[in-house]
Amino acid sequence: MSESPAPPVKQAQRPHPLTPLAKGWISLVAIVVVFGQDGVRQLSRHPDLRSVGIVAGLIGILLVLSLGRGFFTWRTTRFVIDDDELRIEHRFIHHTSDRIQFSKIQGVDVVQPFAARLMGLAALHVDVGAGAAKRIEFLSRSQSYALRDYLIARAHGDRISVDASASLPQADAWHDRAATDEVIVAARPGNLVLSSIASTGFLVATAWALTALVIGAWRGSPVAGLGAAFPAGATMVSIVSHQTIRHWHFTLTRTRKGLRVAHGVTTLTSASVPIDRIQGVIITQSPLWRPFGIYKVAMDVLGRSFASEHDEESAGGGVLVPAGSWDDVRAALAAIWPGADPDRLSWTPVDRRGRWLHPLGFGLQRWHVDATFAATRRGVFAPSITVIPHARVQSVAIRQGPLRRRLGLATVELHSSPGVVAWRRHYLTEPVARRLALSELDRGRLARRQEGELARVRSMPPPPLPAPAERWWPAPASLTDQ
Amino acid sequence: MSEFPGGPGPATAVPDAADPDPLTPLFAPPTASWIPLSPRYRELKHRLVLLAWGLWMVLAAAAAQFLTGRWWATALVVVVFAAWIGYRYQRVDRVYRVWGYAERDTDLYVRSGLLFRRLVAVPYGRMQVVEVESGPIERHFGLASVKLVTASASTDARIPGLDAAAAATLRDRLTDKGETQVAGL
Repeated sequence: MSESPAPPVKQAQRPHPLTPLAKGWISLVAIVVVFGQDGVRQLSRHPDLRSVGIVAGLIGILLVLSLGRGFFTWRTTRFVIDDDELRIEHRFIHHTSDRIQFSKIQGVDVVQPFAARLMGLAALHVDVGAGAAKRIEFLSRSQSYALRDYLIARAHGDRISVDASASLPQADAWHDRAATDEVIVAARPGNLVLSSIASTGFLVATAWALTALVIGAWRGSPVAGLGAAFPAGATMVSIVSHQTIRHWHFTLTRTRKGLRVAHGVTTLTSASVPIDRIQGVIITQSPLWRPFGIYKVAMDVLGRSFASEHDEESAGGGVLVPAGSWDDVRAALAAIWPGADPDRLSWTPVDRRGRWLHPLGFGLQRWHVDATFAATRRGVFAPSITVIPHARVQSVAIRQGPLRRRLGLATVELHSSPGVVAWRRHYLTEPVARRLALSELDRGRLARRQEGELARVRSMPPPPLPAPAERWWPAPASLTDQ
Repeated sequence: MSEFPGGPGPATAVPDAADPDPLTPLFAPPTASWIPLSPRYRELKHRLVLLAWGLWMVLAAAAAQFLTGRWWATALVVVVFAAWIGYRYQRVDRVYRVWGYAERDTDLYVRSGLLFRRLVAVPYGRMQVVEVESGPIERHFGLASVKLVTASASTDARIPGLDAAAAATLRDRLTDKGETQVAGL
């Protein structure tokens, strides 16, 4: 903790004094990654002392520059987290002062890049629901966790003080888990490795590498074959390491304040899952995962790019189960939506007239609607199940192109916030599509109202509200008669 | 919020005589009829078709004349373009007839698309912003578009070519309804 000169009113804090070093290390890694391959190739072509010196000098200059920048950024960054406010001030070249209302905090992530973790530092990323997360880089790890717990408690409306939250149980460098927390899903390393090995990209790369080696050996130039196989080998390694490094130690835990996801080996990310902002989930299975019974569950969280800098493939989405068994999937769904069970969905087939448009695996095209969820399922090679709660549906659309019109079929879409989840059901007959779409509006309205009443009941216990008197949405079964 | 005495609306809608283009029951209006766009929007589209494709026709004819030097080549280009312009011109009418919107107690419905038909329904409580837009050409015709923005990027509920005053009142009406029926995200 740095002793900054106290302003007359507030005790403004500086980030940890080791911050410039951690940031300098991160930019050094970035430099090496960007220029490394090229530089090594150049050096191996002209392996003299002078070019080595030039490269080392360049890297040194860049390092000094980034260290200097890191130092001045650190010098000019202040933050206030106390019982009244959260304020972050940068006064380096651009002066900014962000004051964030506690009630507007959507989530607080503790991110520990490799270098920072070695020094026992961690960054706080405060998610405000829109725009980039507000960052405080870097704090000591224990302070990060304490402040995270404090901010999340305040975001939930608890009026506790900073000092009181500091006494909560703490986590260590590898796990972010207190003794009271209940682990719902923990990714097994074997599953992670297996899921990346049994992915299409990995197999394509393997085939490429083997072909190159075989052709090289056959033509009598194994070295050339090795050269051609090298990029494919690098791809294989990167696919496996990407998946395993990122999701190493992946745990989904239930804490006193909701769900939390923690994962990563070099960068440990620990993020709270705002359950009421989950817009939908998608359960997927890569073709080769089927023999192993591995599934992946991704979700969309409103206004949130989940650890986006490490997670380009699912911008706006988060991973709930990176590679797990069906039981993991069920546990994860039950954790975010009590009562949700993918085994208890009653699947309705679509109209047979559509099979001409979808010859393969047509029988797997199914859908389900109950009072709480709408689900759709498809795919023979890469099966997927999409689930959206009615309360999260933003709008509804019916679509029909010329081909489907000829067959008397239509598509219904349920729109949710942008991300990986897109609820779409093709090949419904026109009457079913019309009824499904129009009644969805009423189901959504009812679900939202019940949710609102539930929240109100929770916030002020007595008196109990009467149950809704009548149901004016059609019973789910009536949607399916064709 | 108001109750729904009648249940989830006319699920199997009756084809309506007032609807100039009933299409199928699938795209029938949830209320008595679709509210059409301003006739000036059709006029604007007609003129745009003539202007844009006419310009292309002139350019293509000039190119044909310049490159081949034969009058029949130029005439062929003109005839082909004239046929295309005729098709686009009458297509404007058909597209215009498909466009329509309907307001119910709790939701707004927009129908569009001639070949690829689309009916989108947006609950008022889901509207984040209601935008009124008007470009220079639209302004010249006294038109404006109303766009409904929800938290979903796929909603894409836009009503183009409304009378500017009607667009403003629609916006105000939608905003009022959205405020009274607001729902958490």
